[in-house]
Amino acid sequence: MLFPFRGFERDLSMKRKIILNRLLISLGTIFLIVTISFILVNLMPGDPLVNIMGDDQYYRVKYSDPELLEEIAKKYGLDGSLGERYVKYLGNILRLDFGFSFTRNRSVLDIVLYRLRWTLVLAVPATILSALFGALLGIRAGWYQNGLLDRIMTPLTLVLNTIPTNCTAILFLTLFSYKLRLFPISGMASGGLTGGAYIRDVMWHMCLPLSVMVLSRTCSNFIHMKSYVIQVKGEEYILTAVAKGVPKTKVLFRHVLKNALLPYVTILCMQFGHIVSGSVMIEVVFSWVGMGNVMNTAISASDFPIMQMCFLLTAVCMVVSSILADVLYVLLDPRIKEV
Amino acid sequence: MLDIQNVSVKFSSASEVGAVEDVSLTLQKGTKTALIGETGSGKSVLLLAVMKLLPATAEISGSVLLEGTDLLSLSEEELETIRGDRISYIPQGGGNGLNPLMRIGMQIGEPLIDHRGYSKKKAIAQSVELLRRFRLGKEETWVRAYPHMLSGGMRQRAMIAMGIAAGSRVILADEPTKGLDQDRIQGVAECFQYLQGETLLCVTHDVNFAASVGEYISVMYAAQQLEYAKKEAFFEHPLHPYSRAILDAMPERGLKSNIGFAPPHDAYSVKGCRFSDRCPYKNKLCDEKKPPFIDVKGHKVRCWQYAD
Ligand SMILES: Nc1ncnc2c1ncn2[C@@H]1O[C@H](COP(=O)(O)OP(=O)(O)O)[C@@H](O)[C@H]1O
Ligand SMILES: [Mg+2]
Repeated sequence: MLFPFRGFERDLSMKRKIILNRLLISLGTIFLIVTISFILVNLMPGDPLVNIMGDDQYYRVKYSDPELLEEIAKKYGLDGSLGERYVKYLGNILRLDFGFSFTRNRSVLDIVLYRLRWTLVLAVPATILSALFGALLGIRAGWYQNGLLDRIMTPLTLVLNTIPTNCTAILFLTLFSYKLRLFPISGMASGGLTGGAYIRDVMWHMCLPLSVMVLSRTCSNFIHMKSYVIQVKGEEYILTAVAKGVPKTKVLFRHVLKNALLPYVTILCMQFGHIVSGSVMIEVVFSWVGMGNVMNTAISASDFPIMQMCFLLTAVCMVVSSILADVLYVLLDPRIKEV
Repeated sequence: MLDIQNVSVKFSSASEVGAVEDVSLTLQKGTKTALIGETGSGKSVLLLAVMKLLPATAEISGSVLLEGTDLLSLSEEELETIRGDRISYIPQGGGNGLNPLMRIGMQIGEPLIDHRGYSKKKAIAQSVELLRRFRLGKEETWVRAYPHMLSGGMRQRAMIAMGIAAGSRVILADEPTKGLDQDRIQGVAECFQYLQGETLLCVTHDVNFAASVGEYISVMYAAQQLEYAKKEAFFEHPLHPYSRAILDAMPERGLKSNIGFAPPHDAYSVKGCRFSDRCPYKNKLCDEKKPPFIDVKGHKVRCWQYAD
């Protein structure tokens, strides 16, 4: 309970109402995304079977043995009217059945979940580390504005922020892997290892892609955090605290930090939404076979079921992260804002 | 108790003219002084200068003696031990003067934690007692509330309680009635009347409020102090033409009224008296030479009429 005392039940129930409201809206959004995904796949020009079977085979079967074609269509859930297919499609999604890959004879769910793990191995530590670095550096630079750290970090991050991550990735790869030979050139693990040796090996392979991700996100986190701290520092209630004789460091810890962390948490949540889509570039450069790479190959091979699930997953991540941000804000900020 | 001597403030970022020019005010122990003046006349800057809370762009000259110690010559560390302990500043209630993410009780009790070594729990318990002094009602509940849950009037009371929490004897308050309606203004005036023994300097642009709170009245206009007198003397026979204009403009004193005579922009740059272009009594001297702050039997006024 956030407000364990009388007289504030109204506040609490209002918070509940707002959170429930947000949840309903996001459910609606996800439903909409699912539907759009169906429309995109089914209204695309050409029979999706062409892509499954390849041009030659498709047209040969089509003219010689149309019944076989229908059977194949059935196997991939491409038969029946549009309405029937839509209902079936919704049912499948509810059962987390995303069908079979066109190019590989495995269920889409298996492939994507397996690859997602590898993406998360990279993205989760990257998000956490850059959140910490960005916050610590940003707080210090904002609090001691025009201090040494600020004067070094601010121009540096502004420049780094304008360089796309794939450039940094290639630069790192050339420098540390080709020239200095400190890290492996590509891949996620060497073969034939097990146990602790395997984990150490994966971590060694992670070093470069992780550094690139942490670097780029730390820069943007730093810029945000610094500006939040500076903004809060100028608020009247900080003047009040100083006027009360609160020592300087306590002004920072008691008054500035919480107020600056509130918007920071929100941008971190939004970053989480890009966890799947944001790592495509880096995964491709470092041959890290995660979601980004799966998406990349699925697109070039026209593997629709995989593309569809990747699309859904990316969109759901966005929705979940934005609702997470909203809910956290409602929980952390005592001021309740009506939507 | 508090002796403000020839304090001037200039902002290096802004133009040549000062925000406060040569203001001297002596607050005797236990007295209440109301400082009235138009928006922009330099009232807030004066209060902040006294606390040495102005940004680095401000150049302050003069001295501020608190029981003999010159606050302006102290280091930031020394000031930390004095602010909130021996001299307090109460920000405007209408503004954003309370931390939105901290409970009222903690904000009121904070000076006790830093100056008296209270535990958090004890400080919050003490803040209940402090709020009781200002008759807030349901004090135990309100100390656990956040600022946005309080009405403007309640916030103002909470901030007065915060100002005296650690036993500060000198209180500086900035426009405590801003944004409040007549009833609430009355409530705030009562709060200041509960302050017994504290020395108060209260900035306001509400003449009625000044009359109900202050024992002494000081008037500021275009960064300068124009008049200083005991309340009765000021209201019965104001000396400065500007003061008279204000009081005449009040519909039968007692009705709500604010001063409506903001100085024109070029008033700051004139050689002589800054009120001269609006003054019905002005003569050649007023345009040429800056009038001194003349003492007429304890009633001070910046006007050539009273020069011998
Ligand atoms: N930080 C600042 N930098 C530059 N000028 C300022 C600053 N603070 C106040 N001033 C100027 O000082 C003058 C007096 O302002 P203030 O004391 O706030 O007036 P008021 O009597 O309404 O409280 C105004 O002209 C204002 O523009
Ligand atoms: Mg002001």
